Amino acid sequence: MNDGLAGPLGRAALLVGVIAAAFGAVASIVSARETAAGEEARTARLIPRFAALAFLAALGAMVAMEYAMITRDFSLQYVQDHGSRSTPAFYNFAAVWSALEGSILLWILALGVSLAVVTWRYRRKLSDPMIAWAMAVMFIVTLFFFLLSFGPANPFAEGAPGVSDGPGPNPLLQNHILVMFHPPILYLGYVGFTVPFAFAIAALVTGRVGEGWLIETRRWTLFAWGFLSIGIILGGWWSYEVLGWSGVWAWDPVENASLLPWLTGTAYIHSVLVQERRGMLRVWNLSLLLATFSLTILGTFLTRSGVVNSVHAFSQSGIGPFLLTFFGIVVAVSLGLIAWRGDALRSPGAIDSPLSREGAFLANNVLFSVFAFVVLLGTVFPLIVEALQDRQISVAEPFFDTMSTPIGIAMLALMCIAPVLPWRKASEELLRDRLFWPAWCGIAALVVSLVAGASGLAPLLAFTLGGFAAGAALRQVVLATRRQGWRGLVGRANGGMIVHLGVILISVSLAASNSFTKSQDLRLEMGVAASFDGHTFELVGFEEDNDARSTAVKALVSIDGGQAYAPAITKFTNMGMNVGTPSVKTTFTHDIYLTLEPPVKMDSGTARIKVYIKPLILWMWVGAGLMALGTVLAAFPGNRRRRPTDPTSAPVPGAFENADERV
Amino acid sequence: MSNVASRRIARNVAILVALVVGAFFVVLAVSKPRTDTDISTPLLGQPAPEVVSDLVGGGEFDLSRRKGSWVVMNFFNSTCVPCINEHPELVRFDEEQSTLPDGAELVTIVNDDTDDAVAAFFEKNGGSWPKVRDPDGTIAVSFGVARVPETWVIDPAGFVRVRYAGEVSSNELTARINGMKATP
Repeated sequence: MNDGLAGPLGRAALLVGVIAAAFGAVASIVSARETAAGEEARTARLIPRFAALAFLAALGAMVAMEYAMITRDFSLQYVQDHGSRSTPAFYNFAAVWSALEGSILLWILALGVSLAVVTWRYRRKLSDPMIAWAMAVMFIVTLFFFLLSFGPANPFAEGAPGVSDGPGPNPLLQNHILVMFHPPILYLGYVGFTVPFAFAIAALVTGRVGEGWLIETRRWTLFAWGFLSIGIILGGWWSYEVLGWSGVWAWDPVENASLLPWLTGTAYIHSVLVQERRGMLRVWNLSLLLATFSLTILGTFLTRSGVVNSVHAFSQSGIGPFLLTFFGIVVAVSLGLIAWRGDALRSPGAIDSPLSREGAFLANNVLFSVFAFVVLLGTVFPLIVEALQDRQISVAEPFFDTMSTPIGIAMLALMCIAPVLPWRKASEELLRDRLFWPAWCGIAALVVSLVAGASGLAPLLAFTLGGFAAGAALRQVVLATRRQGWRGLVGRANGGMIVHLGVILISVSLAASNSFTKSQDLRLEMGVAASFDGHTFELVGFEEDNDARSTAVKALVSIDGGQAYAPAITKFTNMGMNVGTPSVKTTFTHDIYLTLEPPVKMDSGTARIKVYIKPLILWMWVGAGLMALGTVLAAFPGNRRRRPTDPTSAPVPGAFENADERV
Repeated sequence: MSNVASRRIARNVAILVALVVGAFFVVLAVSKPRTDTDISTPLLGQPAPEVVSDLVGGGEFDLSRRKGSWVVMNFFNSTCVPCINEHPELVRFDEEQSTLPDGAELVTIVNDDTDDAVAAFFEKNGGSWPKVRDPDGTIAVSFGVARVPETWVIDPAGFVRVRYAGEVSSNELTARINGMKATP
């Protein structure tokens, strides 16, 4: 089938990528210096060529890898390790990013796409020093990843001769359609933050930290943030549907590594509004972007170098020192630029009153920063202890749960009040007036949860504040659509409120499922119904599926006398690994989550299953959908002021009666 | 707001952050990558659980009667690729140890496999050490074996000393056991 072309082609593509990115970086810097010196920017016209070349190289490398995987080119080490003749086509396609080297290729492709899109977007402004510096930063980041892939993490390395089959990807990665979407979407999120990072560095280098660059990158940041959010949630969904422990989040280092940039990124998309509106917090916003990008690199290092134990950690590889060095350079350059330029760039002005929208954004930033610090500390604490005391410890869920519950509740509380606060200063009457309906929503949520039998301080607080915050978000959307029709759904403030609704649904769902999940082991006998928590479970038969790579045993369990659900155990013969597959019945109020427990003896007519009754899980996925929708809506241009930097106090022609209703 | 100190906030904060990140960087730089093969278990340093069962091909095995020798228990399945890969290493380890006066005894614990398949496998690939049957997984469960292959080292007093998950090499096993012999 295969013709052995993929290896040479892939290696060539990576080499072309290295060269294109290096020349692109040089061309961008030369061009920036030419224009800064007042000369004509002759080198600027070279930038698009190198960008296009780097993009094509990234695409070519990815295509070559897919080609090798699809044609089962076992001359390559990567295909020997992660390919198999028996992997179904679909999972075989995704097998390309099932391990370290291939996932770096995916990363490069995402970088190549960003590079190409940014070049296209600013094709008429490439001689502007600001844009040229941003391009230089992007080329350098791309160069680093091309070098990583061309050198220590080369997916096109030759394998031992004579191999004609392999084990295939990890069985857990051959079990669910989400493996196709979770990694690419997450990477788009990670890589997307490269663009605002590049512009932040360019702003510091050129000293142009006005609001211009920030408005240029606002949508980028929003999309990167949206992809990161969706990628994280898809990971949780995959965990829920595949891993069989019925949870979505385990505070695993890899999960934390994706949460960290999300937290600082979320802080940024809030506090950047203060800068757009009031011109304040310039240096802080830059720092948040620099931190977000640094954290994506740090997270990649932590999870790809094997220094922390993780279910996701790829096997040992030599790329740890490279990533750590790159992290060090990124942080050193960022801090150096801030130390050099920061003080000159700080904006005048101060926050008038803590009870104002800017005050709320500041509180938001404090909460998100504290949260990020807690997560970072918990993730790296074992390393610090080991370095200082030479003993191994682990920081597990109790730490994170204890710390994140109060922070999460404080965030919900802030979401209740912040959306109704005006800029500058709020008066008491105004607050009383605007919080009236949201507060009733909160009380209604409390009553509903009490009637439904909820108890405990933290969950009840979460439900009440969730209702309150939802009321505050809905109020904004209702007022905006009443005034502006469908345009009341787009723009930052309104789209943002849709995102808030999604986040609230997810928080409520998490609070409910973390506090009120019931579970029970049941030993089922054929034809005898067992009951648990108001549902009956009856074993009605077994099913066996065999194919070349695995043997699956399914127990057919009829829930409440209805349709049979089929939790399974799949034995991947050539990996020696048994993988359980849960089966879930979803309803609006709760999920019934079944797993089959080993050992399974089909001829005995009995099966042991574990049943989890989990409330409100469906709403987590609905919330994720709302977040995605809200992000798209927020990226649409809303009702614009003529100049975004106009101070809020300047009346705009055709202003609404409540000028502070708009963001 | 106009005095000199407040104008240098960004610089000073940047220096402070640089110090913290610098220290953190050093911690990360000296962290050794974990080898995933040597993993923890609550049984480390504890007496090994009971292992009493039949042998494939006849005979009985009782771990408590092996006291006085180092015992290496390898949890195995004849279809698992890592087990197949590590087999030559185990054969080499067994040959080397059998020449020593106080050599370790290697034992295979069969995990979810038939006697015929196990016998055929050893016939083909060599290895004459005892193969212990574990038909309902009692032994694997009492040790908490997650996924074959796993290799456990039990000291002459019957205490669990090392647990490896995944493939092991003869050199690693020998070096580890010699190390423990030297420092009881």
